[in-house]
Amino acid sequence: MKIKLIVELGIGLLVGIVLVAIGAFVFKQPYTYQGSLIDPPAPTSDFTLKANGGTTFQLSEQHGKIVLLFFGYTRCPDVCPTTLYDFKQIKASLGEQADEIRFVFITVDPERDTIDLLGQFVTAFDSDFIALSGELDELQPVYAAYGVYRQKNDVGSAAGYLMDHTARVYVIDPNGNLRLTFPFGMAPEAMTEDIIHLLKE
Amino acid sequence: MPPSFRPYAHRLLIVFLVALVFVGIINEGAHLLLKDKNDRAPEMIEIIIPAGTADEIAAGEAPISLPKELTFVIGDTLRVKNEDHTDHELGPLYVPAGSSASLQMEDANKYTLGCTFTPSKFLNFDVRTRTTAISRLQAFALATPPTAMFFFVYSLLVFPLKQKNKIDMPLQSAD
Repeated sequence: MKIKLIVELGIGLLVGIVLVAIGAFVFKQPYTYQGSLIDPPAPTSDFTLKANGGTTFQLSEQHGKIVLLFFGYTRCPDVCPTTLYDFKQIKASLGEQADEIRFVFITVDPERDTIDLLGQFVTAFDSDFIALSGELDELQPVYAAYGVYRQKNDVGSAAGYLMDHTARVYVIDPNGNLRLTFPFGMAPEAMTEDIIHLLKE
Repeated sequence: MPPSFRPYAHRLLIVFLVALVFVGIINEGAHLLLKDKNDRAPEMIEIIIPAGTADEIAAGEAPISLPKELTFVIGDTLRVKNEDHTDHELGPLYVPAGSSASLQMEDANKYTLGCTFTPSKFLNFDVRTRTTAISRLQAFALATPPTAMFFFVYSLLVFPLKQKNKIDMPLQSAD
């Protein structure tokens, strides 16, 4: 009697698990991006800037890869190091898939950020991170194309002025279109999930 | 279970069932009576930036009529559709010309966000919590045990349990 009861309970449990699995598959919700989705994806303006390592970086040459673009400066006390650390965590979480991603840091303070200084700054987080700079007249069109705000803020510090600047991350898909933006403070895990979904598309 | 505990267990089961019904009625009744318009399921809320907005803002005009404060509940999605010829921004949202950007409200708080499509350059958001089925179930689960214990103690005072006498003493004749 007891054995029969146990068998019946086991079958019932198995049927329940199968039904739940079928239900989860049939009623699966489409993925909802956690960053800000740009719909339809917006074409991006191409640009070519000096990169660390003595090379140049052209955005259109990155087709086929996802580009995470961030605008900051080396003397930034909080936002920029935090974002680069988030990039580092994202890269680690992606594993081999990180080969499909380009992590790009463009300076908003070309007066003080030499390309060597930028290179040292970003590669301290990861040797594959790319830092870009140029003359102000080369950078201005890039700032304008991405709606980047930058403003000198003289706080009277011995370290010099601070730069108030746009803090979002721009996500450019493999087709070269602006697809997502991640606001500052978004969890790296959430950004990673969005990137993984974008890679699957 | 010792036989002496059985009547108490029986009584406890009955008052627990009574407490379940009682708490359920109070819980759901309060929810129905006190529900406000913001206690709703998440929605998609769309703001459209019409063509020419940037030019009109520069001229000091207000092309879009928006309330001073927008109210959302957690889970709402704000979609800003940009029909203008220039890019616009709303707080963390960057909305390219001819496209739209959306953002889900995840944290309850009051925000003042920079906005490029209002003359004041700011827009206030109020993101509120909402009553969900889970929160109602949690309230129900938290209220039922103490209510059941209160009913149990009260029932013992008002309707005391009679213990059966197990040992029958033989009657002694009076000599």
